[in-house]
Parts: sequence; C-alpha cells; structure tokens
Amino acid sequence: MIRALPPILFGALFTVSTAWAMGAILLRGFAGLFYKWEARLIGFVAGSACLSAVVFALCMFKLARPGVFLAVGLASIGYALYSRSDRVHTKSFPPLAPLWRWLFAAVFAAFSLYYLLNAMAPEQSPDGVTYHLGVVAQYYRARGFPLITNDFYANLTQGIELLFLFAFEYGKHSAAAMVHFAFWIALPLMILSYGRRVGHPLAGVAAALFTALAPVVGMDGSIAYVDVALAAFAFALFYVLQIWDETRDPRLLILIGLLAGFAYEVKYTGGVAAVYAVGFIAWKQWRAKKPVLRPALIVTACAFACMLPWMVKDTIEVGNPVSPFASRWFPSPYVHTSQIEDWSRFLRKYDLTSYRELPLELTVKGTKLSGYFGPLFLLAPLALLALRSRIGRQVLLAAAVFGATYFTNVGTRFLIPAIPFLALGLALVFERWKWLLLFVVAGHVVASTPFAFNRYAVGGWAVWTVSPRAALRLKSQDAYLAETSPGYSVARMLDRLVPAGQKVFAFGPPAMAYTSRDVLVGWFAGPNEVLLDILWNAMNNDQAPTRIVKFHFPERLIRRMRVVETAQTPRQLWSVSELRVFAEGKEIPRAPEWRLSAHPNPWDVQLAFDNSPVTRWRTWQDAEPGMYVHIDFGRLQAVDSVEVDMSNDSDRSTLAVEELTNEAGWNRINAPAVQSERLIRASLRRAATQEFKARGVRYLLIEDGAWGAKDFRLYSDAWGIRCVGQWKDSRLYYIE
Amino acid sequence: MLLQMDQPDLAPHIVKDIHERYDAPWRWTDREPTLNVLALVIDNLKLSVDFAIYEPGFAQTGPLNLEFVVNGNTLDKVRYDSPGMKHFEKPVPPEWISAVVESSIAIKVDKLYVAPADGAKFGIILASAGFVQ
Repeated sequence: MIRALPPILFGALFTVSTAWAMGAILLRGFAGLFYKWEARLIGFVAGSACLSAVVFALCMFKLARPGVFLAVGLASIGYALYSRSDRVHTKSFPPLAPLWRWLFAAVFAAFSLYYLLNAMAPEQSPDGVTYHLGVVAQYYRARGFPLITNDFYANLTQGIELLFLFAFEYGKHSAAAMVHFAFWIALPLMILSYGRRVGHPLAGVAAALFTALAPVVGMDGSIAYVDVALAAFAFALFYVLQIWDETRDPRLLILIGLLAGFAYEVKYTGGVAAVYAVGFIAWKQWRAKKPVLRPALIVTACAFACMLPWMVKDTIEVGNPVSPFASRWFPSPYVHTSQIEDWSRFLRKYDLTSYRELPLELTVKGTKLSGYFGPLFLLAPLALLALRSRIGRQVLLAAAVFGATYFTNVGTRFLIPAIPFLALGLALVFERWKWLLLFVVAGHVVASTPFAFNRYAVGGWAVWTVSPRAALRLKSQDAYLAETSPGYSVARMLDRLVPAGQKVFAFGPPAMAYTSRDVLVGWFAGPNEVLLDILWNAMNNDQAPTRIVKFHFPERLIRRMRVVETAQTPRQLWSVSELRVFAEGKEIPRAPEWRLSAHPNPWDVQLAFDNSPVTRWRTWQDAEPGMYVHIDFGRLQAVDSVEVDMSNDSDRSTLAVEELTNEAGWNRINAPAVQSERLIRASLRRAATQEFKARGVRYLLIEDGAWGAKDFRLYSDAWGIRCVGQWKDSRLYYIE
Repeated sequence: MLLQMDQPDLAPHIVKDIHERYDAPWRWTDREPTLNVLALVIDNLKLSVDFAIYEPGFAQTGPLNLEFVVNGNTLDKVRYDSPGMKHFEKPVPPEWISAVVESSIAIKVDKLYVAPADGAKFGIILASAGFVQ
C-alpha cells in the first residue's frame, strides 16, 4: 500500500517544482528588485499562473497527457537550473531576532506537518471531490477540455484546477490537494517576507502565523480547494504593487497584470484584484503627476490576457463568458437564472438568521458558515488602529478590496483572501508591545490546535484529526474513504454497477472525482434541472398540470399568436405544461409547419407542445409581463379558443392571448381567462421515467433524505424502476 | 394499492395508531389508525379494509362504531354489532383522491378495549387497508 505514496509525492512536488521553475525563469528579468526569498515565493506564485496557462493550452489541444506534462516540467526545471535563474536575486533580509525566528520555525513546522498529513490523506473534502477535482477527473479522462454542459461548476474559472490536473496525472487526488497545500506554505512565508522588507519583521512573523494557523485556513489549504491559493495571489499582487510603488519599475507592470488576472482565474471573486491593481497604479501615478494611461493599460492588458481564455472557453461551451453568472444577460439552456438566483440568495445568508451572528460564526463557531478563524479575530476591529501608519493603510485597503466580495458568499473561506491583510493590520498594532504581541501569538497558536478548537468550536469545519496511516498509505485509500466518505463509496458503486457511457441522474452529488460515470446532478445545470422538474411534476400536486386556463373568442383567422404573461410574480416562475389551440371545439392538431418560440427559455418551448403531462416549458426566472409562448402556424388558421395547461405553482400568473396583425402588430384578443381544475386521473410516475429513458438516462441515484426519496422507495413499481444498488442511505435505481 | 399489515415496507406508510407487528399477519390499532397510500388511478376505486373485532374486547366494549375517512372526508360510518372478521369496501369519489400524492386512510374507532392484565388499550385488529378497483 505504501507504494501508492511515491506517485502522490511526485505529482505534487513535480507540479510545484515546475511552477517554481517557470516563476524563476519569469523573474530572471527582475534582477535587483527582489530579495532572494521574495523571488522564490512570488516566483512560485507567478510561475503557477504560467504553468496553468500552459496546461490550459495543452487542454485545448487534448494534450493533457503525462508524457507531455513531463516534458514541460523537465524542460522548465532543467532550464531554470541550467540558467541559474534563481541566482540573479542576491539580496537577503537581515536575520530575524532569535526568539522570533525559533518561534516561527517551531510553530510553523509543527502545523505544517499536521496539515501536510491532511493534504496527503485521501481527498474527501466536499467541494474537492464534487467539483474542484470532479472536473479535473473529467479533464484527465478526456486528455483536455471535454464539452461539459451539465455541470455549471465546470464553467467557473479553474486556474488552480489546471495545476491540480498537472499533479493529478501522476498522483491523483491527494497530489492535487498537496499542490494547494504548497500555497498554504507560500502564503505565510510571503507575509513574513513582506514584514521583513518593510521593517516590521515581528509583525510579519505574527501575521504569518495569524493567517496560516487559523483553523479554516489550515483546513482549506490542505484540501483540493482554491481559497488559500487565491489569498496567495492576492498577497503576491499586493506585495509586487508595494515594490512597484517603491521603485516605479515599469518591468513590474507585466507581473502585476499577470498576478491580478490570475486571481480571476483562480476564482471569479478574484476579479477584484484587477480593479485593485489598475486603480492602485492609476492613483499612484496620478498623485505623482506621472502618466496614468500607459501603465494602467499595460496592467489591464496583461490581466485581461489571463482572464480572456476562460471567457472564450465559456462562451464557446455555454454561450456565457462568465457562466454561470449573469445568465439574464447571457441566457442559455445550460444555466437557469432562477437556479443561480436561488443559489446566490442562499450564499448571501447560508443558515444565518441575522448578520449579527457573523462575528462569532467567523471566529469561534463555524458551524453555519463552514469554518472559523479563531478567537484572535474577534480583535479584528483593533486593526483599524493600523490606519495611523502608511503600511497599515495599505494593508487595510487591501483587506477591504479582497473582502469586498464577501457578502456575495458569506462562507467563512470567502474571507480568506482578506485575512493576511487583516492579520498584518492587527500585528502592526500589537508590534509596538513585543511581549503583548508574543502573548497574542501564543494565544492564537494554542487556539489553533485541535486540542483547543475541538472544545470551543465543536462541529465547526476544521481539521479535527489526521490519520498518518492513511496519509502514508499504510491504510489503503479505499479502506480509509469507505469509512470516512459516504460519497466515495457511492461513486465506486456507480463505477461497479452502471455500465460505461450510461448517465446517472442524481438528486445530490456523490464524490464525482471518484467515478468515471456521467452523473447529472439535479441542480448543477439547466438540463439537469429540467429532469428534476419532470420527476417532481409527477409527485407534487403543486407542479402537476391541474390548473387549466382557457380563452374563448369568436373564431378568427390567425397566422401568429402567443400567450403572454401580464403579471409580475416575484419568486414565482411561469410554466406551461401544454398549450392547445382549438377551432369549433376541436383541438387543432400540431403540424410540422408550426414554428414555436418562447421568451425567455426558447430552448424548451417544445415541452409545452409534447402532450406529456410531466414536461413543461418554464421561464426559469421570475415571471414578468411580456414573457410569452408563441406559435407561428405557417398559414392562416381559424382559431376560437386557446387552452393553457398549467400548475398551481404558477398560480399568480395572469395570461392573455395576442395575435399578430399586419396593421397593429401584436393585438391582444379580448377574451377573458376562464380557470378550472383538472384531476390527474392516473399516476404520472411512469410517464416521468419514460421521459428519462427518452433522454438516455437509465439510472437514478437518490439519497433517502432527499425530498421525495420515500416515493421512489415505496412506489418503485409505479415509477417503473428497480433498486439495483445501495450504499447506506443512497440507492441506485434502474429505469426498466 | 392495498397495504397488507405484514408487508415488510409498511412502516413508512403508517401515520399513527398502528402497533408493531408480532408473529401474525395483522396488527392492533389504537383509536384512529391512519395510513398513507398512493392511488395509481382515481377512477372506480374502492376503499377496502379487512379487520377483525376482538371477541373478548367486544364483550367489554359492546358494539363498535367505525368511521372510514379518506383524505379527511368521511366515506362511511358503520356500526358493528358482532366480533370477528370484517370486510369494508366502498367506492371513493375520484375528487377525494390524488394519483399524484399519497392519500390518507383513517379508521376512527369509537371505543377502545382495555386489557385487564396491563391496562393497555386496543382498537381493532387490522389485516389490510387500501384502494382496490
């Protein structure tokens, strides 16, 4: 079993070394600007951006292969060593005071070991195995970018995930997590270096430990997430901006643009980095009465060059450069606006009843927001005292910038990019009283140990314990994850029981990174949500097509007509199960020459004309006046009534029928809407699963706790499904 | 769908007042045994209930009045003047039931038998309940 370890270590070290080498080569041209340690750390961070760009290019051409990666890595490392790229930076910091040097070394080494073991252990973090590595695993199998339209997480920027892919080729999941761990190592060392550069070494030591040891930072940095990497990029950008401010060396502008742009590649919220960088440079140049436009344009262009490939990729794949967001501006069938708005609403609040809960949740509880920074950060308001110094103002400005996006997602880890700056602000305040600073550091060290946080933050998201046996693979990954990760066992069950190439529809995600099957998670994409809707329509009274709205009017010849929403219905979608048109009491058969369209969501309009009671066209955004379903009969057609089959979950919709006339354009037909209820006379369940079959989906994965799971379990005959596998409370059904 | 009181997956159908099963294909009830069951169609359905009135219990309670309720609507009230096996069956108006979600079936028992040995209270002995065509 321990033989599984070398590939993991190789994958991680080779990736980090390649990134470092690329950074060293990049920073060769900056001789004299950086201290040795700065060059190594900022070089690693910048080199990571370069490596990610190379992997992006390779993925485009389906060249993400171990041999190609090996060649890239060896060439980079070889050239960096041969050219002695690292040697051009000769300046060293003055030594740290022994007490602080040993304090930092001992504490950082101990916590590094603890979190390293967590990083090496088989990966099982929720988002890591669901999408950070779930997507990576798909790239790995496809040797590049496959077209993924059934998982909007695949549309997020994935700068760090491409580094994960580089490591994953050799060491799979744990190697990827260890790459993120390298950023956990680099970040505090950068903070320390910055403190030393600006003459506040003790503040540097303290802030480095404040940041790295914070339980949520240790947790996040030792799994396959990207938040600590984003924090490293944010800090590296801040750092280089400060050096530029000192030197005004124009060579740094490209590096600044690269770091700012890559922050967006790490995570959309990192987009503020580019604004910060351009704003900082423009402001400083303007204050110094120097040209603003040229340096600002250089930074903008470099940042945009990093951001653009992801925008192009998303545009090509799903028609939205910033998918899954801005779906009102870039509508597509792949992401529903309501889906993202509901999700965003949740992310802005999680389970908080009030934002007044934030201080304790973020510092000592962490159960509602997934993680906490430790009690030290209850003192965060004191950091404002740092505003008295120039450096203090700079770090607090950066904290504000990188914390600005926090309220788009109040999960604790979304504050991580701001934490190094906040930590520096706090450390600068305490630095004037060395013993007090030492006391605060000691308190934070103690509070950050599992012995302590397992007492004050029971249940909060942190590395409560590590398993050295699992980390060293003395215990097999399979055995370890079977005990600790239900999602893993479910994923393995899928590989065992579902034939290759078959699709599985799931209410919730299994550990996607551990299955090679195509899993369509209900809320991960528009088409998946349509499938979910089909199932729920069959077993939810509010969604079944029982509400009939009929319009009767004197017979008229119509070529084009539409049913229009006239009401604004916040938090309610408008749905049409069937739209039927009648003449002389008989339904006019749908004909091939009919042309159907709808606004919004034109892609699903056919669902209102398919005679299936379980499918429906939906607006997938709050209903608004002017939304419509439109029929072009292709010729003049006598019509005297229109029937719209709807459901009670659209009960606030008010409709009208319009015809297109040559004279007046769209003309509303004067016909009152007559509403009635229609009984569903037979179960729709089998009709729903037949829709799945028609769409090539033969398997359902349902957890017992999911809404409606009991119905599938108890009435499997009615659904026409058979349970073919089960792991604990997750059942796999086959659609007969 | 007809629910047999000895079927292995009965528990999720039970809403209340139905005892655990012992070594018999039936179960004791309390005052208002209630079950949820799905009707796959709604037309021409009859509520069907097989149950028994316990003879020693009947000796104590006398005649029992049972009220058969579907989704809150009283389908029938029946007086049973004798102990022993009973069968109730009656058409259910389609508008009372749904083929989309489960329907609730309740049997309200007016008097409970109190066991002399331990004071435990019992309603009827239920063997099956559900919808048949």
